[in-house]
Amino acid sequence: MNRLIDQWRQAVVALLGICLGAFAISQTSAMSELGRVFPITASLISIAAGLGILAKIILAPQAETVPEERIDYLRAGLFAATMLIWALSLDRFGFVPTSACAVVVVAVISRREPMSKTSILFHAIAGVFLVVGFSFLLSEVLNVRLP
Amino acid sequence: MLDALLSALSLENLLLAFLGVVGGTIIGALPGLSATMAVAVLVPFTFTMDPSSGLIVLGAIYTGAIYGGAYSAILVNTPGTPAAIATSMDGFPMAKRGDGDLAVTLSCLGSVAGGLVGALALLLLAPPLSQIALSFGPVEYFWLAIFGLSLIATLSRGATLTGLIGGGIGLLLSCVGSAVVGGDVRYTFGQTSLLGGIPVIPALIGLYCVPVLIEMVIRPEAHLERRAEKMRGFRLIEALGLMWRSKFNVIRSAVIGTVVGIIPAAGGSVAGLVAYSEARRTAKKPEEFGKGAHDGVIASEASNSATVGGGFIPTLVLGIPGTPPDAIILGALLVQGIRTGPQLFTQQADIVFTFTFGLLIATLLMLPTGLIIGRYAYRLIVSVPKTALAPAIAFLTIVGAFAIEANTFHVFIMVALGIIGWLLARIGVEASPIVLGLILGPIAEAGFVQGWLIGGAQGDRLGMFFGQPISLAIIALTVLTLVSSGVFKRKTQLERPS
Amino acid sequence: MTRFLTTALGAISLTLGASMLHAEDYPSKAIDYIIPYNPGGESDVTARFQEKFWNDVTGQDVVISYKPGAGGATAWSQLGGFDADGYTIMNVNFPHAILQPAIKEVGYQTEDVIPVYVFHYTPDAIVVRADSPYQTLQDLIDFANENPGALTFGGSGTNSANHLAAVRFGAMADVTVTYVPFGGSAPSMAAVLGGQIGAGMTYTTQGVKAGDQVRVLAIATEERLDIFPDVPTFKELGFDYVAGAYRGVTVPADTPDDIRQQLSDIIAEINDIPEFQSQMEENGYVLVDVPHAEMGDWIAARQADYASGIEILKGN
Repeated sequence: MNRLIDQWRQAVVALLGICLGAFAISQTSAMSELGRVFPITASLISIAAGLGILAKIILAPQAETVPEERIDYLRAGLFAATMLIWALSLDRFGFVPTSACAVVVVAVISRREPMSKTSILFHAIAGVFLVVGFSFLLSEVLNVRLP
Repeated sequence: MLDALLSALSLENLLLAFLGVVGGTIIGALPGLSATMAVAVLVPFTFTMDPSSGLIVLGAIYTGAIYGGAYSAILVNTPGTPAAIATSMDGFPMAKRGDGDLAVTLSCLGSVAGGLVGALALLLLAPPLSQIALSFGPVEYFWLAIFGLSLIATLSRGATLTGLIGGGIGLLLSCVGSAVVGGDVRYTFGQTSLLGGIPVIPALIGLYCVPVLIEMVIRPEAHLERRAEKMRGFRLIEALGLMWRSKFNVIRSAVIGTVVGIIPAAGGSVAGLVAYSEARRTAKKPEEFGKGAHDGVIASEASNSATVGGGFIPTLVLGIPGTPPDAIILGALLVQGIRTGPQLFTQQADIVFTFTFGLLIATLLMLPTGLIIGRYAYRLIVSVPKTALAPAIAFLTIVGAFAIEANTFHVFIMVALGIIGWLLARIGVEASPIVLGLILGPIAEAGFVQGWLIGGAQGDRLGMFFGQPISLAIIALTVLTLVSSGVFKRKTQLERPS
Repeated sequence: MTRFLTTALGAISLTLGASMLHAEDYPSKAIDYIIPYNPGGESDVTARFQEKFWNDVTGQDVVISYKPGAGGATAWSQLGGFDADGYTIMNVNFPHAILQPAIKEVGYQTEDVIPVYVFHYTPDAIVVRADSPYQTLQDLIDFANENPGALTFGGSGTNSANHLAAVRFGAMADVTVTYVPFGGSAPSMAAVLGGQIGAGMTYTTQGVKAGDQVRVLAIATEERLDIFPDVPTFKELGFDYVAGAYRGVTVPADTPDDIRQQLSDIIAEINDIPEFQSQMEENGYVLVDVPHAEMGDWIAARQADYASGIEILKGN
């Protein structure tokens, strides 16, 4: 992904490291002495790294210009939501129906060019075939019990 | 030994080895469907077979599955097995720029070379090499994990501090659940489903694959760059040339893989990471690593395939399984009435040799099958339009996360970590440091706590951690890697954006 | 599209219908057998031994899968979520399933995982490397007496059978030992063989597996075992101690009684097969038969037996 990181993003990372570390340390009070060592070490590492980044930003600000990248937040959000709903509906509606629907939805979200009716039909059939085929592989060959 | 070779070459055994390699490769290529699962499913079928045939098919499946992980690592940036994590670091950038076919062929050649070295070690040197397994105690595991974690610094290319935060996130994630050593219940927030911790493979799929999927959905350009000219076949000659130029890398990685395979509880992921780190350290142009360096793919694949043969050494000689699939095979052996241990090599040597030859043959069979399956996998991924590719891969991530333990909660974890991983990647925290922390954290922690307890009992904690030759050697290597990676160099010259 | 969906839904409802069968013809299809540990350990191996004979006894297969995590607690806390139709069975270990809920909040209670049958146990055994200076259990105790805390016992897991055994042994012999938990029996044995820890507090099965690389100092059985004719029992050495990890098969708590009974009969029948018995015994397992009808008393007896040890573990 993009390697150009502006200072605002760095500041967010730094704050994330510090907050997460502080939160993780605050949770260690109930742990045994040996069980606490490792989480505290890991937290201190991220707090220290966060402070380091902040120090760098404040002491040596670099005027670095980052080409603004347009992100299709609508598609990203829709896709993320679909995946989440997919994961949460498996138990309720069953593996095959949920997945068959979700596969179609993801195809619609990632579609860019208008498609002909036959190609839509073809995609739908291929998608359902994929879902049913894999479900068969899982349940019959690999003995995984599907919800 | 000749009898064993002939018996391994029987038509039935050859066929079994071939089917095993093909089946294993396909299962390994699908993220989440792991070598462990493939082997576990097949065990009952081997009860009715002749012991050596049963072992050959299990070994072949295992070999194939470890290799198959390379496809998804290269083509969709998703290590199908943890062993292929290091493969994706350079394999996917290669595929991105249109060299996916070359990467697949290289991974196949590397795997065959590594697999052969591992299997030959099993054939010729098993009893003496098994002592390596015993020289690795808790403290050595601790330092080995630290060495692996030092890769975070070298991977982050100038953004070391950001990488460290990623590593911290991964280490904290690895603490979730009930600790094996000490039994503390940590960071579960009252959720009993989190008691077992963050499941590694769903986390891998989420952190690596979901961000790729999101990018695929939101960007108009093709998933992988497609070179304008026609498909160039296997690019075998080119790949062989690259292999020959990297012969030291191949041999070093295969040896690392064999040795790490012998060490119980380390496994393919550690082997791949250590070999990758060493390849980078000794490379002429280390800055190419992470951007599609051939040597990165070769190192990772040669070493993870070598762990197959290496892992069988402690399994067969000491009765201590080197990797989880080895553990299942060990169980299958017991059911067959084969008692592992030093006496196996004297009393039932014929079975061991037939099995080892079977493993060698399976490794050789991997060359044609791997090249052909890889070629079609690459063509498929390149030519299928996004409207079909995105839903198909999304479905595979769901399948993979679910299948590992038939648990829908794992699917949720996969998706949640995936979305978080994408957001983190947008602000510069990449997946690899998080994954390294998650995988190596438990090894480091268990080693540390055990070493602390033992050192305390002996009244010499300092000597425990810093007084033993293997530990000191690993510490030295870690420092060497950090120095050569430029973490301690002046930052300014490194921060040049790529 | 809708047609595909209806077909898919139809297929689902068919499979659901097929699972609602009567108890008379149980089992009428393959049974899922879940192992709450990683493959290769005692739970897996004994289930694989059973698997080999399961079809001969019932005419149906078992399908073994693994749900490792939290020393077994991950799987046991999920048990209630499975269909209580007898087609999902799970391996359950004691003392683990009594210790864990007694010491920590682990998402299940012992009552939720009451077995239908307990079919064997792996007796506790103290093993040392073949070249260790400890020739007898007394040597070990003497060393621990002179150097309190310096003797390290490696075992599998925390709040596990091995942990309890180490704690109980310390109390019985009145010595202070350091228990070092490992991620399983195999890694703890690797540490014994590698000489990183003083002795292994493990099971007889590990002593068999390691062969002449180790010396078994004592085993916690009633009588000596055929496979270790020269190894004394704790009883012979003056400790009234018979213990180990008991393994049984459990089902979701709502499973009807007649199915529990049938399952209990099936496992009893497998336990009666001479070939199964010899395979188990050769590998260091000791068969026991605790059927469904006697389970309540058996669990109560175990709870009483572990009570003092649990108090010590809680204090840690």
